[in-house]
Amino acid sequence: MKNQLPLSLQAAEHASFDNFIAGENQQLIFSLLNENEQLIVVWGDEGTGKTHLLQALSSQYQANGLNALYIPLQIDDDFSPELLGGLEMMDLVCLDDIHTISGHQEWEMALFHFFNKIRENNGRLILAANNSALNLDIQLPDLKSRLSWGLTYQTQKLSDKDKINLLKLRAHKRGFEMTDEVANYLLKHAARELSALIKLLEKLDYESLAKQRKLTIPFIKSFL
Amino acid sequence: MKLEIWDKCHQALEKEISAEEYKIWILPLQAKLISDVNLILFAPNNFVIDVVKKRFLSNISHIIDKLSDNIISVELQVGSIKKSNTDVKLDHSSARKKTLNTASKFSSDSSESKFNRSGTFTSVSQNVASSINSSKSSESVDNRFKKYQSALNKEMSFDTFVEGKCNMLARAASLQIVETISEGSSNNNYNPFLIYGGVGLGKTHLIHALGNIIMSDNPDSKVIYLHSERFVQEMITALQNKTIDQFKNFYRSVDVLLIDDIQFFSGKERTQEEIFHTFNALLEGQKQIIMTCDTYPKEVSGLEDRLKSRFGWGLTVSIDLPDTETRVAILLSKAAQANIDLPQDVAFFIAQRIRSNVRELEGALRRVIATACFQGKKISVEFAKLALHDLIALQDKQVSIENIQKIVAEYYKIRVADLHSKRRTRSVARPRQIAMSLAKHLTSHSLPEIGDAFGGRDHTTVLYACRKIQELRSEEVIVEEDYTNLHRQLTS
Repeated sequence: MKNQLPLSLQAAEHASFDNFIAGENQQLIFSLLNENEQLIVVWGDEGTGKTHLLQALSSQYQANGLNALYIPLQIDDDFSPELLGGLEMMDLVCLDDIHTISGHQEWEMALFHFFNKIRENNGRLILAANNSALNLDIQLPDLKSRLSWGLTYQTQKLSDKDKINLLKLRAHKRGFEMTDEVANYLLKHAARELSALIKLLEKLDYESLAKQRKLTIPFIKSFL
Repeated sequence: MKLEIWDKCHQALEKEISAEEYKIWILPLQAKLISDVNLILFAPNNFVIDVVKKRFLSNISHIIDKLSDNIISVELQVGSIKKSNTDVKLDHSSARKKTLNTASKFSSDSSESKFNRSGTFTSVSQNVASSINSSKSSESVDNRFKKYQSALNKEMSFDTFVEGKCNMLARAASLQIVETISEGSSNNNYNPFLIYGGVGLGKTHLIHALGNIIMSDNPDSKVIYLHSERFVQEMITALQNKTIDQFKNFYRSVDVLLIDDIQFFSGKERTQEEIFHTFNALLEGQKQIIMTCDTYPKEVSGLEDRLKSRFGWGLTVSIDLPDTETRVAILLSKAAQANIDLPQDVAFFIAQRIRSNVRELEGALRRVIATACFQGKKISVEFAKLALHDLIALQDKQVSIENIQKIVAEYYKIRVADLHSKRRTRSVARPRQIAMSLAKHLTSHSLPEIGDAFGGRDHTTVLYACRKIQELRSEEVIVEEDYTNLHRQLTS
């Protein structure tokens, strides 16, 4: 028998400050929202919310009609350092994953010059990486020292309690309520990484709609 | 003004493309209907335009087609829509941003009303183009000078430049030059004047301070400040536009030329040739040239010898790492500039913990101030300790040269003593070079210090090792692999 396909297949949730649980990252958020902080460098392990926060800030600017851009840097044929050209005219530029360009001379150079230009223009620059400026494998000392210039924060992992709160919040935003019990079960049996948990949540939402079942532990068990 | 058709297009697009792509490429676009049949999408730069064209333009056109009765053509342009026509100055983007920033404090209620129906928009591309390409535009040469002068940061003055043993000579020589220029004396032994030193020690501050004071003392003289990169870019543009003669004439007609970071001329032969001739013309006309460089200029690789020798004709001075007292003074001065009351014992505490360069020092101060602001607490030593705990932990964990030598020796199964030894066989020399290169990048030790730690070698040997390894990393997979493994081992 064919399952009923729910309409909003993807209904991707946009990153915002509303669907984020700050945990120990409150001060970071406070500083991100303070537009006088022109240079912030965020670093931390995967799954600690760096991407989410950068995207949230960028879309908040965009929603206010300001010029903002969020870009995850990656090295491939489609991405070249030219990507940064002219962006210094923007009010806000969020560059994610800057560790991926470390050691690439052209990129490091481009980021260095971009850094100087956006500073000259009084634009805001928010950078994220998986390691601190001190420990990134950046070859250009001029760039490296500039990274340590900014307000630096290490993103902190959420506690289990906050992870449960986040799952419940995300579920609520998707239009269903998740019990502590279910959230706890997911955390213990499904995934520890937040991004994996959120993806799972989306899948479960879809499946439970498709199969018209409630999101209970037996249902999750059958799905896992 | 929000454009209904573009909003609807957003909604439709969101279903057609991945959320990730939507966020990165579609959200930054700003739409403007310039007639019933013409929709312009403004993008931040050409790169974004290319991506949007390649991946999404057909989707967009298709959706717009379905949404409208008219046939609307969609065009992509570099630029942006300004929020209103009253608080915008087109020429000075920095002024514009300041106004915008204060005008829009993230309250979504005010943002809607800020969009003027007749919302003026300028194409940023014109701004960008005119700054790079000004020889082509109709603006007067006078305006052109002003543009370079506006690149001088007013906050970087001699008043805010903290003097210490590390920069005393450079500062004194700078002031001497200012005096000579103001007197109009042609007897100047300090020409060219070159300031060199490691990153984040205040070279740029000093050159800006020089530019600012010379300009205010001699408002009629043609003072030009620019970063070396800009010189390169302008020359490329001038070559493309066949305006190289105007370019040459312009630079050869200035009274004072200030160029930051000349090490970036390295390897750019055509630019070096042009700089060489500009140099000759200016020196001949007894015009002052002031430059900064991150190393002793004779040691910059990829610079022509004749240029290096010219750089050394006048006065070359270094700026060194500030001592603790100077770092304290710097912190106090920075805090005062930010209107923050920083107790001296706190400044002392930070200065003792953060020793590498002034930028890092400023980063730490920023963190203390932001934390005080967030928690609403007074700044004390205890408070600073807590606020900086992670930065300090990082500093403390920072690898030492000894540690690097130990790990590298283990990795290559040689003895640490081999790294110190005079032996030059490949099996020892390569690991030694890698270790030196890692020491340069992971510690804040100077080249001579690193040389010392490797059996008393000369600093040029260390410099050579760093360059060699950088070169080899892109040529030999095995070197790249070893380096990355070691780097990871040392930093994780």
